Amino acid sequence: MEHDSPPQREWTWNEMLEAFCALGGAAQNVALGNGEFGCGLSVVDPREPVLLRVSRNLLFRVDDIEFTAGSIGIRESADVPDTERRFFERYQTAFSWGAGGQAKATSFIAALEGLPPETRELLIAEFRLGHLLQGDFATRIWTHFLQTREVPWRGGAVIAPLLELANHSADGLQYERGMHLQVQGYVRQDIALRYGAEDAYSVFCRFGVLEPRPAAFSLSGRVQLEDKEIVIGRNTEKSVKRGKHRVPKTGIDGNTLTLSYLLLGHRQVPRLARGIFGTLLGEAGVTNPDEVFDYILRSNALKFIKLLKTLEPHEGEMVSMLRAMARHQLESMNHCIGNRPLGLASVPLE
Amino acid sequence: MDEFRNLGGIAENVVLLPSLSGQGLFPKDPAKPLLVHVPDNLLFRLRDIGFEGDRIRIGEHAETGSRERSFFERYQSSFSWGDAGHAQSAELIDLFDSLAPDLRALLVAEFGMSLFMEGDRRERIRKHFLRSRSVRWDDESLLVPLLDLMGGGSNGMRVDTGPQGGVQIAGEAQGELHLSYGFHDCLGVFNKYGFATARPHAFSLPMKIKVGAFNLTITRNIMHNTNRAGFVLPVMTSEAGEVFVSHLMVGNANSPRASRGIFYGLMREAGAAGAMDAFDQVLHFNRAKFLQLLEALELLRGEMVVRLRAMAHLHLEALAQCVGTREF
Repeated sequence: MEHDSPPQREWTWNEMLEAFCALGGAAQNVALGNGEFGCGLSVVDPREPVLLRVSRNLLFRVDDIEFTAGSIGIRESADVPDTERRFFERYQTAFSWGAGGQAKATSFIAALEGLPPETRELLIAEFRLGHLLQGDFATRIWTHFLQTREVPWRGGAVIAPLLELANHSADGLQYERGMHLQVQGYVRQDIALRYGAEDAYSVFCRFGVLEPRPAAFSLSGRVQLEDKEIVIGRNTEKSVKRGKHRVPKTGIDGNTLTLSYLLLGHRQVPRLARGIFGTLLGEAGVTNPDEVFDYILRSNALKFIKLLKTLEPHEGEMVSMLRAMARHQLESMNHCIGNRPLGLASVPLE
Repeated sequence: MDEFRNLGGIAENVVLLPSLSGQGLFPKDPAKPLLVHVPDNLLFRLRDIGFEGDRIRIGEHAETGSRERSFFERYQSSFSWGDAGHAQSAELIDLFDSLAPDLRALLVAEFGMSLFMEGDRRERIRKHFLRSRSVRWDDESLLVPLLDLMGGGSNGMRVDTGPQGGVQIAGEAQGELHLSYGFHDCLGVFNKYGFATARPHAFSLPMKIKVGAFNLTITRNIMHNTNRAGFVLPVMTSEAGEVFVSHLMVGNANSPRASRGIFYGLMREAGAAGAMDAFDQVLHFNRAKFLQLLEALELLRGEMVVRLRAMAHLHLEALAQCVGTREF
């Protein structure tokens, strides 16, 4: 197990901001925080808006990042100029990986490592958490650290300095993507970023935190019908707009129908999940999509209940966290009532 | 056993042996069939049974012969209530009494567990003893000698009518003899016996819901039912815009299409529109209640908490077994 190196804060926050802005970034009204969500970013003057802009040259592709002997850097082969490369490494050491990021990721992976074997096996087999539970311990820490901080950018994933320090919340600031990546707006204290299309399960896997979410998406898997196979992914970034709703991207290859993800329940729009599925599968020529949807719902519910049962005789912080996550996921999944086919106006529940 | 037989009882190939729950009935020779027949005169109605101090008695008003009365009291004192029955019931009631007040209130309000937690402790112990050992037969709850020593089991034996009346169990068995749980779902078994066990099906909690123009009231009277196409269906009555169903299945692992199908069929008969939404809302209500129970149990510890959590998990599993629909 790697141990954290002490924070290297020889670079002050203001010095770092100066370098950040000199490289094209902008940070207005932003301070290093320590608020209700833990370490992160906070506002200097809540009466004024916050602006945090990360220029393209400061968006570092996750694939270009490497860890060596406990430190983080950019691969030599990466097409990143020296100044940006030096900035990234100094910034990471002083404010991110070297300033609690490594410790937090290590603690999460170690807590998962401490789970009973049968729970670990279940999480690997049914919940696809092998990347957090199997393989070299240090690599898993690195992977988790990057996963908690990465942000989708033009078909890939990048680490955006400063922005990656912010925590997430349901009503946080939304990413604005254009020439640069930025957030802006008014905040009261902590600067938090808004979750994307995440459910309780993915928030746990990605960020290592527990958070009830309005939606629940299906675990990835396959459903074999008489004449078709349905392959369900969990890539909520891959979606298309249909009326006023985002729906999964579908693809047909021979007898295989793929869905980039599948909504199973939503606290605010409980009719939507079955409606989306019914519409998409109807268009793909699947008869009786309601029954297929029920089948997927059952399969998901039984997996999370199985997790609860497996955790039952055990105690500990990670056990409690997993138990609550499973409960939150089941709760959101339970918000699947009625059926509103896509394209129809919103009908309130009786 | 001599007196039991003298009074018309038959007990073939069974023996009383120590078991996990005190004493239980076992087959003498598991390779051979067994028979326990209890005649009408040895079927004791719960409403005729009372307690005097620590002793269990047949009430004076009961039309029970003196030999049967004497048999009942001696049998109960030696093998049932006076053996482990009282102690086991007291232990269970005390486990419920040890729960946090908020949780107790939730269990009483939402899960029909007032019998475990409300009223005088001694009365609750007695009532639980009678409830957990009784057999429902011809709209009566009966205490049946020998059969009251058989707890419930997933593969338990079915109680049948004997050739000349009475009740009996017959067949072959390995290990301790248990009675079938009948129609009880996981919550039903818990409320009868106080422990959690997996059941393939789940019935809805009592609730009221609007279905089209009707107010639908769902109860949990699983003994009030009719038969159709080999399925046990609830009894439905309606009156002036009010529809009542005696129970409603909301999941069944052995027949996952049945729950929705039964509901749709009933609502069609009642002339109520919007059955799909209504059934989804019934499912939602039930699942939400058991998830709420899990949340309430989350930070608590103790044997009864573990049992309740196991019950909620198993009941949620059965609730998940609702896939598609079929015609009824």
